[in-house]
Amino acid sequence: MIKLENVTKVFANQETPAVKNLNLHIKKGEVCVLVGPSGCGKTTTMKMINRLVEPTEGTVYIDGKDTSTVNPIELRLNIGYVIQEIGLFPHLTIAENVATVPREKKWPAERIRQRVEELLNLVGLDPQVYGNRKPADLSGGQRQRVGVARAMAADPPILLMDEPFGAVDPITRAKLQNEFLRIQEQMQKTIVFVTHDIDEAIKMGDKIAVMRKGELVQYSTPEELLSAPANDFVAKLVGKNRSIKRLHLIRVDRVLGSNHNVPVVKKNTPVRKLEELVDGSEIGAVLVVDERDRLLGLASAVDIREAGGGVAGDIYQPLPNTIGVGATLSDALSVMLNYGEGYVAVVDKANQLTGIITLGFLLGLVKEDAA
Amino acid sequence: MDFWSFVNSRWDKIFALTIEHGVLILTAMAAAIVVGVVVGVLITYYNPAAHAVLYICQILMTVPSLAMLGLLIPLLGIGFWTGVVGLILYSLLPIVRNTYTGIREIDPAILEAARGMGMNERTILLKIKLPLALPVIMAGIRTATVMVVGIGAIASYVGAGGLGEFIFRGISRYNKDMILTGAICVSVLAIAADLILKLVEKKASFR
Ligand SMILES: Nc1ncnc2c1ncn2[C@@H]1O[C@H](COP(=O)(O)OP(=O)(O)O)[C@@H](O)[C@H]1O
Ligand SMILES: [Mg+2]
Repeated sequence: MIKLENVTKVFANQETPAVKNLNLHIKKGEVCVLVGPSGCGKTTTMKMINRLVEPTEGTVYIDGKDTSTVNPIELRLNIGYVIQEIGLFPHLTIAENVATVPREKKWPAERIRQRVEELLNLVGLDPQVYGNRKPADLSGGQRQRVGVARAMAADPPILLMDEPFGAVDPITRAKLQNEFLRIQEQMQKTIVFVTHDIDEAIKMGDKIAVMRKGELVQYSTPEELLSAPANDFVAKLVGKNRSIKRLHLIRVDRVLGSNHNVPVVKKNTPVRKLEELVDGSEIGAVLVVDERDRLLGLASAVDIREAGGGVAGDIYQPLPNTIGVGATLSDALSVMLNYGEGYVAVVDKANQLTGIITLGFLLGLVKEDAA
Repeated sequence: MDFWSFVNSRWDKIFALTIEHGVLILTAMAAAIVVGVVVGVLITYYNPAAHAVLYICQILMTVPSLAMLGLLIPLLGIGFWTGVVGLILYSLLPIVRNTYTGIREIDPAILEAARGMGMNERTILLKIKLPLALPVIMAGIRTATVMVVGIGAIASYVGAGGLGEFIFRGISRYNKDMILTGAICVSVLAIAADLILKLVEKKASFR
C-alpha cells in the first residue's frame, strides 16, 4: 500500500540527513507506528508520504504508484492528516472544520451534512451539541477527536497521524487510544502513526518502525520488538520489565492463532464426535458456535458424556468469561482470575469467536522473557 | 460674528463640504484597502520584498503631508484625484503592515493542517488566512481611516475640496469661526469613522 524505497531527506543548509536511506513497506489495513527519540526523523518521514516534504533521494509509492508523479493536492485530498497541534480552524465551527475535505472535493451539501454528523457521532461528540461550536469552546481531548474526525471526513484509505494524542493528559490519552483502536477495527485504514512513546507504539501498532538519527533500526511486530530487540538501543527503548509490558500492552488479537488446544465445533455437530475431540482439549471442554461462528457456549467433558446423543447445540452451557479483541493480555488475565477459569474466549463485536487465550499461554510468554 | 450664527448661516455649505470630505476619504480608502491588502498578501510570500516594501511605506509616511501633496501637483495637476492619490499613499503603511503581520502571525499548525489536507494555496488564502487575519487588517484600516480624515483637510490645498476649504479660507481671511467649523467637522468625522470601524472590527473577530 505504502512503500518507501531508499528514501533520504537532507534539508537545505544541513549536513546530516534528517532521514537516511529508509526502506519501509506498510501493508493495507495496517497500523505502522514510527517511534524514536525527538529529532530522529519521524515527522519528516511521514511528511514525505503526503509530499509536504519532498525526498532528496528515493521514491515513495502508494498503491504501486510513484507519488512524485501525482499532483500533491490530489494526493493529500486522499490521505487523512492529523498533527499534534491539531490545527483546527478557529474561525470555523466544528462541523465546518470536519467538512473541510468533503468541501474541497465538492461533495453535495446534504452528503456533507450527513457525513459530518456520522463522524462526530463516531468520535463520541454529539453533533447537536458540538456541531455549531467553535474549537475554542472545546476541551483538549475533544479537539483531538475533532482532528481525527476531520482527517477521516472523506473516508481516505490512508491516515497519517503525527503524535495525535500527544497534547492531552494520560487518562484522556488512554481513552482516545482505545476509541481509536475501536474505530480502526471497523475502518481498517492504512495508518502511519508517529509517537515518541514506546508504550503507545506497542499498544497501537500492528508494525513498529524504530528510528534513530534518521535511520530505521528495527521494523517488526510489537511482540517481536519486546521479545527480540534488534540491538541495545531498541532494548533500552522498550525498557525493563518487558514481560510485564507484554501483558500490559499487547492486545489479545495479536497473539490469537494456534496458541491453544481447544476444539471449536458448530452447534449441529453430533455429540458422538465431541467425545473424541474433548479428549484433546486443554481445558477439558469444547467451544460451541452457531452457523455464523458466533459463540454460544461450551460443552464440558462431563456434559458430553452424560448427554449420550443429540448435537452440540443441545448441551452447551453459556460462557461468561469472554473478552473483546481490543483487550490486552492483562485484561485476559483479570478475567481468568475473576472467573477462576484458566482460559477466556475472545470474541469480536458481532460475538464471533476469534480465539482463546489460556493461562498456560500467558505463563509461557512471561517465562520466555524471564529466561 | 458669533460662532453659532456662522454655523447657522452656512449650514448648507457645511453639509456639502462634509459630504465632499466623506467622498474623498471613502474613495481614497476603498482604493487603499484594495492596494494595501493585495500588497500585504503578496509580500507574505516573499520575505525580502516584505522588508523593502514596509520600509518604503514607512518613508512615505514621514513626508510632511503638505509637501507630499505639493509634490503630486507636477505629476497629476490640481483636483480631487490628486488628493485621493496623496491619501492613498499615507494609508498604505497601516494596511500593508497589518495585512502582512496578521497573516504571518497565524499559528503555523493551522496552515500545515490546511496544506496537509490538500487545500490549495488560493483556498487557504481566501478561506483561512484572510478570515483569520481580518481583525488585524481591520485595525489597520481603522488607523488609516482616522489618520486620513485629518490629512484630508490638507488635500483641499491641491483642490480636492472637502472641509479643508473652511480651514484654508478661514486662515487667509482671519476668520476663526470658519477655521473652528472646519476643525470641528473634521474631528467629528474622524471620531465617527473610528467608532463605526471599531464596531466592524468587533464583528470581524471570530472569537
Ligand atoms: N523544515 C525543516 N528544515 C530544516 N530542518 C528540519 C526541518 N524539519 C525537520 N528538520 C530537522 O530534521 C530532523 C528530524 O526532524 P523531525 O522529522 O521533525 O523529527 P521527529 O519528528 O522524529 O522529532 C531534526 O534534526 C530537525 O531539526
Ligand atoms: Mg515530530
